[in-house]
Amino acid sequence: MGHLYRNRRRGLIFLNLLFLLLMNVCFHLVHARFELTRMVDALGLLCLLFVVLTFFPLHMRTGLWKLTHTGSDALDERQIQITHNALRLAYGWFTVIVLLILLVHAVYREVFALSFLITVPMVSSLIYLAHILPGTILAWTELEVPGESS
Amino acid sequence: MKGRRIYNRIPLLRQERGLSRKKLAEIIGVNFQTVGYLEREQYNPSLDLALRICEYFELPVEQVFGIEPLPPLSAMLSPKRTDDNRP
Repeated sequence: MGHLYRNRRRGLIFLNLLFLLLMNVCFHLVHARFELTRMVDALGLLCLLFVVLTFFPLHMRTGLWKLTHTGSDALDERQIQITHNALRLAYGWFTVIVLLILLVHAVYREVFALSFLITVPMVSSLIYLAHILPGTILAWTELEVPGESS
Repeated sequence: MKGRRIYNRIPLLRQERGLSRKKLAEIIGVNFQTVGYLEREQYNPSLDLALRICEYFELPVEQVFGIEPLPPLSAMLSPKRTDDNRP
């Protein structure tokens, strides 16, 4: 049963991150190519809707948001251990993602003399990512999460 | 570092006392899923948690936990039957 729940969670992770990426591509194109604005804007908003729709079953219904945002006083020793490990991995992944974006930004400007805009949706996505990454790691690795019991 | 597997008799002792995982979790102060992980021997408890469990079941640590698979309690209660002591 735990494996079935985990496979479902992994599917939701894939969709959530895919729509987040597509949303950023759409909003980036809006800034780069003005003639596509309306259509791409609509696509970007549609992707945002799918991000929200996959966020709720993946992070809220499973209790992972609460687990990763609760102080260690309210957790037992196993929960502290798994959240600590997830936070450690999330910190590493998040740092790499942010540094890669900054690297692309610098390379675009320095090497190609082009502008790679760091837009409001991109920064908002990074804030969102910082909050969901630990829960995403737990959803990917754990057999049982608080909202499910096998 | 991944620790070695610690075996336990928690499922047997819990069922013997007619407790649900939730009830036992409340008594020993952990999440009910942690009891599941302990029973499946997928999580090794800390010394503090292991002592709390033993305290509740009123048993010495070596009868609840072990580093080798624990023999069934019936084997400990009845003397070993050999050909010598058969009538």
